[in-house]
Amino acid sequence: MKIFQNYFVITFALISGLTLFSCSKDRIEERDELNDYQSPNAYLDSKKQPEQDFLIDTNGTGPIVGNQGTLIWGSKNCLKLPNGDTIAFPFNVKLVELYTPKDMIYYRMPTVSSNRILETEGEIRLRAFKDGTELSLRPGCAYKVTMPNSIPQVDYMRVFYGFENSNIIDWTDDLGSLGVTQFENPIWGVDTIGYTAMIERLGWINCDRLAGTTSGATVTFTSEVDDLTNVAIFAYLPATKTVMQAYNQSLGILPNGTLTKIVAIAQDASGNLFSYYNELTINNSQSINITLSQISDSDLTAVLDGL
Amino acid sequence: MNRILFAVFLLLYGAATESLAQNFGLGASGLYNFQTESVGAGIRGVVFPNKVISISPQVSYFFPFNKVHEITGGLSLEAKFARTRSFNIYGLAHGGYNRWISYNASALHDAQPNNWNFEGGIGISGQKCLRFFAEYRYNLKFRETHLNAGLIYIFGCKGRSGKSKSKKADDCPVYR
Repeated sequence: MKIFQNYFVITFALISGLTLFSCSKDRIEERDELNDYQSPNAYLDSKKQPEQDFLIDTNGTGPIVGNQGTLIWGSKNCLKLPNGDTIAFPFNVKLVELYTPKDMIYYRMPTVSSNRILETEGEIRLRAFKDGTELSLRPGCAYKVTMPNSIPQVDYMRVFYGFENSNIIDWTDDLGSLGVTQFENPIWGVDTIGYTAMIERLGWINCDRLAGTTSGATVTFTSEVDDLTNVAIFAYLPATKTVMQAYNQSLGILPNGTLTKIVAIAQDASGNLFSYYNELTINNSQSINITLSQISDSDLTAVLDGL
Repeated sequence: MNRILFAVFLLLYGAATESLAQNFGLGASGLYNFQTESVGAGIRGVVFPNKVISISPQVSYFFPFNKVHEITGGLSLEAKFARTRSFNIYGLAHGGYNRWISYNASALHDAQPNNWNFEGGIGISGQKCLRFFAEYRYNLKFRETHLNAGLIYIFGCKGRSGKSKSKKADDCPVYR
């Protein structure tokens, strides 16, 4: 039996050695706590372009002039209440001007039409109200809008209209799909100020051109240290001045070979700002692992100004 | 998964009924993985259970309520290096395919559902027709140890308490 005593000693030593020195509980280790963030929407709202309010109380020659140079000409007679009634003076015209990627990001207003990126020269939101009731344009009536631009391209940009699609503003140049019969030229004309077009539907208006196709790359964002659930992630494509926003940590569709600037913005429970910035050329669908760093308001503003 | 288990069962059962008197055994076991703190069950066959070298196809399953939910199917080679009238001590090497069903719940960086495992270990088994066995095994891939203990019935060995009634079965239990 001595030989078996030796075996048991060897076995015990082997088991003890394996258990004590070579074993791993990696498969059941708890995941590291991820950094948790609040939605940055309150911060973005505090930085976004204000909606300008113009009280129109008499007929005039116009135009209404926005803070950033948008010009608007329109008639009271073109406006109607939801029940179709005409309106009397006074009424209000409200205007939001988004001409930079920074302002589009603050307003979370990407320039994407049904997953196809848009080349853009600017977005505005033009609305009219009578005693707090939103008005619409009569069929066959239009408002003239001029967007300032120093080097407009002739017969290039089209009028796109924004519409809500699953709580996201999507864009279309097909007015018929929005229930409006089109009778004006959908191409932005060019003048000494910039781009000019006749607008046949109030709301979000974009000076755009389709720049992407339905094929290309999708980018997925992951992080080993940050919970990305409440992180706002944007992409800016300098070649087409396109602003994109990631939804559910997924961004697409980007044309392959596109230089893309990625900006992620978050805010913790104490109100501290965090961001991530990267520039890369997207050549195929990929996953990007990001880590947010604390940043000051002024530094983040500088990052967005530099897009 | 049920089809695979059923096919394995049929394979083992078919082999067992192929007049493999004392050349084949079939058994079941309970398992406990010390690192994942998981409980499982297994079935196995044993070919040439009384020879120095035995071959053991086996499937183990760790239940869904565990921290690790997985199934492994593979083949063991067992080499008996010490034998008495009542038990054997053997070393074993096992290779198999592992399906880690709950991999996405793990924080392990490279966790994936499909794995190839290699294990080494040491075991002890009885000599009777219905014989106990116990094994302590180390998984090289996941660096985990588990205890595997159960019973195996040796076909063609029908005597009570391991005593054979037939001449052919007189070799059971085996000790030479």
